[in-house]
Amino acid sequence: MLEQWIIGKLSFDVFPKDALTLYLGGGILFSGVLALIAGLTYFKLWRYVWEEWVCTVDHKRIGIMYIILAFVMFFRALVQAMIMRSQQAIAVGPEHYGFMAPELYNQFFSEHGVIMIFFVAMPLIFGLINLILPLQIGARDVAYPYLNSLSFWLTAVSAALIMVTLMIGNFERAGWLAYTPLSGIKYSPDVGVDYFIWILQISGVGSLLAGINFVVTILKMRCPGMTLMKMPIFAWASFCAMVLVSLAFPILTVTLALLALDRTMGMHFFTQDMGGNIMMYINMIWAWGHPEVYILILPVFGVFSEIVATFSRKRLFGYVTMVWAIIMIGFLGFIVWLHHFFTMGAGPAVNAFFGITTMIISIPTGVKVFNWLFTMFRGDIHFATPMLWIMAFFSTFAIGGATGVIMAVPPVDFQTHNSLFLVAHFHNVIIGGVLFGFFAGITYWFPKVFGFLLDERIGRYAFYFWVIGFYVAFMPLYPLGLMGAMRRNYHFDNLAFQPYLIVAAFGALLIFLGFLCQVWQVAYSLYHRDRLRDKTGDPWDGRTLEWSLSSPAPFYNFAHIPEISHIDDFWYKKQDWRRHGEGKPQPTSYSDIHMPRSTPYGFIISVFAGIFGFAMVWHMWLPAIAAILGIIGAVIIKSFNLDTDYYVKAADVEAIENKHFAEYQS
Amino acid sequence: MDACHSNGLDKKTFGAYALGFMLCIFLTIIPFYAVMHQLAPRHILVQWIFMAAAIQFFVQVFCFLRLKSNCAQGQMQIWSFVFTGLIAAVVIGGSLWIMINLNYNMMH
Amino acid sequence: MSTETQAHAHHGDAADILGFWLYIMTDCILFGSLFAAYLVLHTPESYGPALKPLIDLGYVLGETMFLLLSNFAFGLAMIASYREQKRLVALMLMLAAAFGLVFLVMEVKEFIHLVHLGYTWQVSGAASAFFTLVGTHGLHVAIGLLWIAVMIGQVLYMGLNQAVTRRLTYLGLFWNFLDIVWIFVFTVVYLYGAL
Repeated sequence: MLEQWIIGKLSFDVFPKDALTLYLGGGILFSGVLALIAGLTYFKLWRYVWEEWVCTVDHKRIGIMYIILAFVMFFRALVQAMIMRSQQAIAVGPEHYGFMAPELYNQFFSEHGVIMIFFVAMPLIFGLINLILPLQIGARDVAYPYLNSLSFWLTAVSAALIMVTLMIGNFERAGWLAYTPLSGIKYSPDVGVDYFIWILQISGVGSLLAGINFVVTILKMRCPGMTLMKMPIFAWASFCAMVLVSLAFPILTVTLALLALDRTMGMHFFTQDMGGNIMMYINMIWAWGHPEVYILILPVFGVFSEIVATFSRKRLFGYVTMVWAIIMIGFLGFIVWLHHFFTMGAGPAVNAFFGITTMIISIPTGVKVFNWLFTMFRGDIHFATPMLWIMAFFSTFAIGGATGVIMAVPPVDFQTHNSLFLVAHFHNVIIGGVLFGFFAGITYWFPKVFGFLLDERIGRYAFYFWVIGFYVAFMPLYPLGLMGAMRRNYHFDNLAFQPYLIVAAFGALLIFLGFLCQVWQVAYSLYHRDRLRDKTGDPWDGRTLEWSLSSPAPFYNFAHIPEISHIDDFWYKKQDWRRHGEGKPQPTSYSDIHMPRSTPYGFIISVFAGIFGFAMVWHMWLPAIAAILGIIGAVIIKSFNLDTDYYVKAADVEAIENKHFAEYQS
Repeated sequence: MDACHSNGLDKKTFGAYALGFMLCIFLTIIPFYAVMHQLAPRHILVQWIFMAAAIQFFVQVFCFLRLKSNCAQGQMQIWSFVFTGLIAAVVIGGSLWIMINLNYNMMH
Repeated sequence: MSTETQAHAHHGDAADILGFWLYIMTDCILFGSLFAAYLVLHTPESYGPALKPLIDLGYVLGETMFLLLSNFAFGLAMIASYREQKRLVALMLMLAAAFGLVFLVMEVKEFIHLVHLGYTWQVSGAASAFFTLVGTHGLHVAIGLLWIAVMIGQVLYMGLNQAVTRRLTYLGLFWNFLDIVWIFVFTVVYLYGAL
């Protein structure tokens, strides 16, 4: 009995048996981890990594870690996508069933979706906001640096858990949202859904804390003179997205908790009998799910505003309407969620209401697109790589958005719901909107973070592979959907689908080549970083405050907190300096700077949380209780430590600043 | 000096607290007594208990939480409270409307 | 130099409370979702044994009084903290914890009683919703009690320094918020359920 409480359901049967997961997935994971450990040991980097990265509370370092996490997880989900596309291209007609068993295929598309949303898109968002937002508002760090570290490590630990599912047990097979009753204990008795629940709960806590952190940062830590209506648009977009995070994620927490209670304690929230209501799960999960996709897209809209203004060398058109559009999109995002289940059986009044709100939400988005175009009109446009990505965004996102508005009409949705038309739509907006926006933002802000630019030539290769690859991979899915092809199928009967599916598979390959180009771009730029170095801190002649710092920014960000008086204040100051034939003026004196200390507790608490999640999945009750006690103990012990900050001496600040100005003036 | 104590919450005074406490006891006992002794027909009682709850809610917010409206921080807190309440109403109300409406196509 | 750092410390104070306030807002949505699930699953026509005959309103009134008393005691603790009276703060916190513990024990006893009568969380969706909504509130209270215990320790051990006072303010917000949620719980679940 005690053994049960310690080992739970673990046994030697838990290792995967299919070749794909075992050798490809498990193999890559195992060798990757081994290589990492070997590398850290050989180069004697353990202490450095622990002190400078694991324990850091510096928002810039945490941002870098988020983005690295996102790229690593992206690789896995992309490979899974290519395998699925290959399967679909082959498995058409009565004679060919491909190389994947249907259960494995179901697991793949579930993993692909969960990883792309929770471990690629969300970390990219939090990473970008972490990196840039405090710099843009003239702050030295976020409002709660320790919670920032905790948020990252909770996300990283849950990513580790989803990687563990490759080797111990299996992940769920009920789709990225694990619909009931399929995800209930009766139809999914294995550990897959439990992994899903705990992975999302742990990373959900991380996301929620980050949301609160950024809202307070934006509200309370703007530099003097920066009223809300003088903030960069990226700050406004991040603000609204983080408000959405704060209000939407609790719904996810509750929904998953109720599912967990159903599965472990025999409750009847989402069962088919005994008074449960399976449709309530779908209602609740989408009440979170829809705000979630706006969380993904809003910061990216902010990125576009910054880049379009900078590369058109013109002030953003219609700042006030842009702000109101962002606020409207944020609010309206909470009243459209039923459009994900028009076909679930609600009456015409309900369907019509949500259909109309869904159509309304496209209006503020359209306002933003027009404002960007008007910003470009008569601007002095430079087509550096970030601007290329913006161009791709305009057309791609517009098509995706249009197909969304088509499906907002309930009778049309009855035809397209859960078809490949839907799959094409959401990939269209997520890739065309979120991903292209990230690539634009990462290329734009890379020099600020690392001190050297990314190579333009290879960046263009990556761009063309990605954009052409995207269209080749997803445009065939629209006609397929209209022809009746449904989603999540490992095999199709209709041979007429095959040419389209083969083209789509080829498109996936092109996208993969684009991704490889991006990896090549980073490696190449790193190798040639001396040639590509950003000496001035302002390689694009930017408009916002982050460009007034060195590249990379010093760990304290600003030696003196800036005081601003209008939007794009840095740009106007620059024009002033140029009129007088001068560069950036160097301050004459410096003061001590108050900074937070690094702490291991973010990491420690997250590790306990990961152990807790794993133990709950496998019903190892004693380790689970021990892990909870560990978390509580760590929180209490940390609260007795009052040595949480320190002062950087003015002399040290001066030394760092002098070094920057020497390089700047050269 | 900032009347708001710099955190958007007014200083708790014994007077406000005692008053709030008395009101809350009153606003709790009345609905309980009314229901336990069936003092009115059902639909009237329903109105009473929700009214009492709403009033006690405001008493607790103003006498115990001491939300202040005249400083920036207090305003941020009030607005976030209002917005949260709005979203909660949308989620609860919307969910109820949807879930009940899902029976529309079944037998009435 | 001193004004910049002083402003920073001042800033820090206000920023911290806003953050905790926003966390309370997220907890409102959490309870809101639980209420939504309860209202959907727990209708007069829903499957399973009825809760109505099992409700003991007098008992619930007692629980409510203890929670109110606990809140009042905590308020007195806050007032004592403004007057820098360390021992009085600790005493009031102990009183708040004691009343809170009585509330929790009464609730656990109620649950055990219901289970003995056959009304378990496995018997229907409505029952699951009841135990989860009321139980989640109880879990928050339990965590709050643990926090009060830690604060008693910190007040006595570290005195009423800036960090401890800040944390007492957070805990006060949290404790108040739980009482506010309880208003809705007893109204919707017990009073409305008894009608």
